[in-house]
Amino acid sequence: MTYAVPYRRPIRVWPFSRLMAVSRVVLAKMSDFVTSQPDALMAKIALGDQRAFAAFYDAMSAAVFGTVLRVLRDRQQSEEVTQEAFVAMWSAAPTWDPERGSAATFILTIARRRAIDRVRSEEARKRREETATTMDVAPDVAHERLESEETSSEMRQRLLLLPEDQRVVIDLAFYEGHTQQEISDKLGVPLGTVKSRMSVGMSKLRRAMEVSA
Amino acid sequence: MSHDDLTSYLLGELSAGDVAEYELHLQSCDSCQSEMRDLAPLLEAIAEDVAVAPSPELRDRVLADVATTPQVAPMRRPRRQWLLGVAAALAIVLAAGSFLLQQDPVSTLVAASDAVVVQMAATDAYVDTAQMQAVYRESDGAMALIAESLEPVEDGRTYQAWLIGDNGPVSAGVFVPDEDGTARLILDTAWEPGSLIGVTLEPAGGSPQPTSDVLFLTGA
Ligand SMILES: [Zn+2]
Repeated sequence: MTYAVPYRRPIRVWPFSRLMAVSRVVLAKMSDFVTSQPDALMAKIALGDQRAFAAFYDAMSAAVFGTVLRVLRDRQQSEEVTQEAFVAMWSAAPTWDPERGSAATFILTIARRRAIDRVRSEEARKRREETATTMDVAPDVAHERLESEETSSEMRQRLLLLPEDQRVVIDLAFYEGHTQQEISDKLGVPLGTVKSRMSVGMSKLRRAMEVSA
Repeated sequence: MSHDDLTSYLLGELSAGDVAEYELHLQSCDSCQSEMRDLAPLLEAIAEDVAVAPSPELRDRVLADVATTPQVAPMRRPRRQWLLGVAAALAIVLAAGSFLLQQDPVSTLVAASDAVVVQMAATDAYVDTAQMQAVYRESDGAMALIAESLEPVEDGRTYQAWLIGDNGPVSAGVFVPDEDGTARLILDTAWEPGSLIGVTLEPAGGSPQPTSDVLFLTGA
């Protein structure tokens, strides 16, 4: 008969001199290391550092463009809005306050806001044109098919675990690019209800991320 | 604008005016701030999930725009309540016409019209929460450090500030907080654009090069 011997992880003792040497290296590398994080880059961008801005663009442009594309569904327009958003972010960088949210949140909200503004003004323009010409133009812009690729992503998997009503509002907002008002109209539920489902659903998804991390 | 507008804010649905109003609320609302911090990784993860690379030409266009686009002046922000407290105290001192002002070079620096406040954050190496900000004057780079709720140091130890530029860390001064955990000092080194400011814990008198992990860092 064998007994399981309780295994205790040996505590690794590092000589102080070694610790010192390591932390010196860490600090020497520190300026390189922190520049890879959007928040640290933003601190430099706020001081007019164009190289830091280029690094930030490289880190975030696909996420920003993809987010905008969900809303606008048109590459040409989405690139225009992405460009506007990054330039606006550059310009406003000195006012960025890390306590109001991460640098990534900052650029993503700017970009989404501009995309939604674009949709709103586009709709207004179309309404004007339609009443002017009375021509029955099918307003169908070539919708890119975006849903298929992501069905298996980790985030989509987590989304499937949410209650239906929360899953739907998150899906419509983030993956289909709709505003909460549009979702409210589409589902025929009050805006306040959409907002609270969104809020509860997002915080559940966030917890799910922690578990799987 | 209130808590209810958080999702609208995150989803970019607020008008410019409402954004400004909500951000004002955010500044004084701990619950929205912590929810915002909490949800940031989710927003980023979803954005990564829908990420699509734009054309390479877009990068050139954006960088060309940025090279000719001016930035707004940094807000002279006494951003946090406690720094507001400093500013308020300063105003009272000014109103009283007190000569005390001349004896406090840190207050003079903070009050300069071209003073820029740089927020510093505690790294994982610092166990507790504390407030720390560096302030520099754009005209001459003169720098000060202001800290509150800082952990006391043992005898024989001191905090040391570093200016970390392309050539590595350069000592910017040593300091020990008072009983309240407050520290206010003018730093020895002038600000250089693009540098970081860090704080380590060192043997009394300071070290020529840092020997501990970085406890506070700008932009960390
Ligand atoms: Zn709130």
